[in-house]
Amino acid sequence: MPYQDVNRKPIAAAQNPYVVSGAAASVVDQEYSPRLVRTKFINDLLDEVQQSIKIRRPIKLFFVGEYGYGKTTLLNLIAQEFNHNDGVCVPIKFQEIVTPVAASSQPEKHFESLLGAILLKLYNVLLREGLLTKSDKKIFEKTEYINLFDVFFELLQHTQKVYILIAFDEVEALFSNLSIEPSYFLSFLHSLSEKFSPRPGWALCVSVTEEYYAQIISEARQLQEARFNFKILKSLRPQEVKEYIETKNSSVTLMTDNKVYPFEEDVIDFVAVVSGGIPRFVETICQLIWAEAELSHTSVSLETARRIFSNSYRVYAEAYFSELRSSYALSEEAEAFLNILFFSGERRQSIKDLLRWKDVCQITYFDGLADPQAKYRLKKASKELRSKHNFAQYIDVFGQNPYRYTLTNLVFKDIFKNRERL
Amino acid sequence: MRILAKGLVANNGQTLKTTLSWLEGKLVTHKAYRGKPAGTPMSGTTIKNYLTGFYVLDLFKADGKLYSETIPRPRASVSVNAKIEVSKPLEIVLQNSSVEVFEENFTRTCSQYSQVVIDYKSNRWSLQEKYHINDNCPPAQLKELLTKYCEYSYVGHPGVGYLEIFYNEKIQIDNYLNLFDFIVENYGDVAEKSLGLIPLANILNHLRQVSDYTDEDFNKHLIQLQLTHRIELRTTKSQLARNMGIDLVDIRGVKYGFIKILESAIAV
Repeated sequence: MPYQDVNRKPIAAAQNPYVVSGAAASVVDQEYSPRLVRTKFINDLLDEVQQSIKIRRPIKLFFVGEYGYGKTTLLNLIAQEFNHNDGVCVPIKFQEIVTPVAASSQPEKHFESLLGAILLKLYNVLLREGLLTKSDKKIFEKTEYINLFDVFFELLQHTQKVYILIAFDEVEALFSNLSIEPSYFLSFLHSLSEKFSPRPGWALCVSVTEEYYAQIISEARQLQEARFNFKILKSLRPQEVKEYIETKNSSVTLMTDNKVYPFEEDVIDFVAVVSGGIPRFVETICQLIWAEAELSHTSVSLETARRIFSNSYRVYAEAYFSELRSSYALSEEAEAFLNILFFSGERRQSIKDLLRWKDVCQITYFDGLADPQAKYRLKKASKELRSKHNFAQYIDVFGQNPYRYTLTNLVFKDIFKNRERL
Repeated sequence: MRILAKGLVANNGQTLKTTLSWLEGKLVTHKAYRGKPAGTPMSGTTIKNYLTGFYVLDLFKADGKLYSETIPRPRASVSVNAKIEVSKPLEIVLQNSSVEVFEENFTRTCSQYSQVVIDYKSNRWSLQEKYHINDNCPPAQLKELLTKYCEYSYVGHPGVGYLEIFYNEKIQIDNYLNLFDFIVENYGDVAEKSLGLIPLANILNHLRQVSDYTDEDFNKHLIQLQLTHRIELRTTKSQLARNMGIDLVDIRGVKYGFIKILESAIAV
């Protein structure tokens, strides 16, 4: 039975509000998703940007955050602000530039080629926007005589625009694919920002991953140029994850009283923990849960969510439990116990409950094992796990006679993370 | 160490140069270093540095030019043309064939016969008496005190890493929580400034100098710290590591460049 919206109309599969690879993933010059969830951080930032545009205060922003934290999304939103104010955005996504640069030049020439590629990209974007004409290409011919930053300035000057945003996205791609030291690129940015200083409407926004933060900060100090404003992106707090899911779900269901529907309340906690509050992972996990449960459930309970998760990530779970085993010096049966408990996807499982899965779970440990044998070993394993010091963070134990076991949400989170590493 | 001792004994009475040529090609590196894989033959300079260490420990005498003062720290330097005379205890130590027994006797010999080690021990003892320094005084503080009160110009050792190890008390790390304390104590400041990220190779190299920590234990404890949600290991591409000037550490086939401390005290 499919999910229903506020008017009891079935919701089509295509209306899944989540995207497998995350909301923004895409480049600055693409249409951004209208269903984007605006957190307080985003709203504050946009207010700041709008204010800056209004009073022509220079905008120089550095977004620091890990994969999936929403750096590109932010650039997209800022680009929108510029477009609304009759400005133009030049998105420079380094992932696209590095391959041709690497292919076309010797490692020691990477930096020069890169500057060339940036310039060319700038020219092409402005040409496509109709802000430059082919005849402006003659500026390039002068490059040998004049400073590169002058060329930059000239090109932008020719557009006659007051508001221009240069967005450097995925800067980390430079350092992980080309032989360019971060300090080179930073001096380039600083020079560019100097060059822009007479034009407060021309903005520079840069996104980069956390590794470079320390280096960037120290370089910025060295050059006594702290004019860039650093914005460190953080993961969402559980409450924000809840609001995130509510916004997404209710945008499809149009429900006002039960915004989390078709998810049940405790699914939200599960998603918040497993995703670690990282927006892209919230998307990935919700997409999976929404789509898989759609066929057979009117709403998604925690049990369903866990089972769906167990089905999809079994391979990673095996690797994770074997790591856990070697680190905690667990026995083989304890590892098998954890595996079968994960496989079941259920909560509060007694040994008797777990035995039901023995023949279908395809865990090699149980191959050819008779029921009484398996039961004995699982019992032994459960005793071991109960007595293990510090193990409460992985497994919850309920009752007695019989004991019942639940894997904690944290285990699901670790397994989800393992997926990234493998 | 044993091969070096062998080289000295075999060339007793000859010049240091002949000892060097006897040793060259016989020694290989244990670990990958500066892009060269483990097992690369050691360079002449490296071998000479090791031999200088033997000299400072009074394991052989040389009649050539001895100390050359270089700034900022004094370094021992033995001329390659100096004739060497190996001390008796070293010859005796070498008579036993097994490596373990050699290492043990070698350490004992050094503490009995080497003037630097004897001096160091007595200085340490007197510091302990006078200033009530306890046994687990941090190496940095100890260095400072030795410089201040015992007129050491540089504590540790001229040029040769293993002597520094000899001088300092070794840190014992026998479980993952110890490792975590070590990291927070020594790198907490760095982490605070860099969103909790610390280059992994720095920690590992530091540990190799001040403890007997095996790589295997290090890897195991790191994984445990990750499993118990105290740190996160960050994979890093080799090109990136080159550009940033850091080394990568291989743990169970995955190359990591950084750890991120998740402890709330550090996290920013």
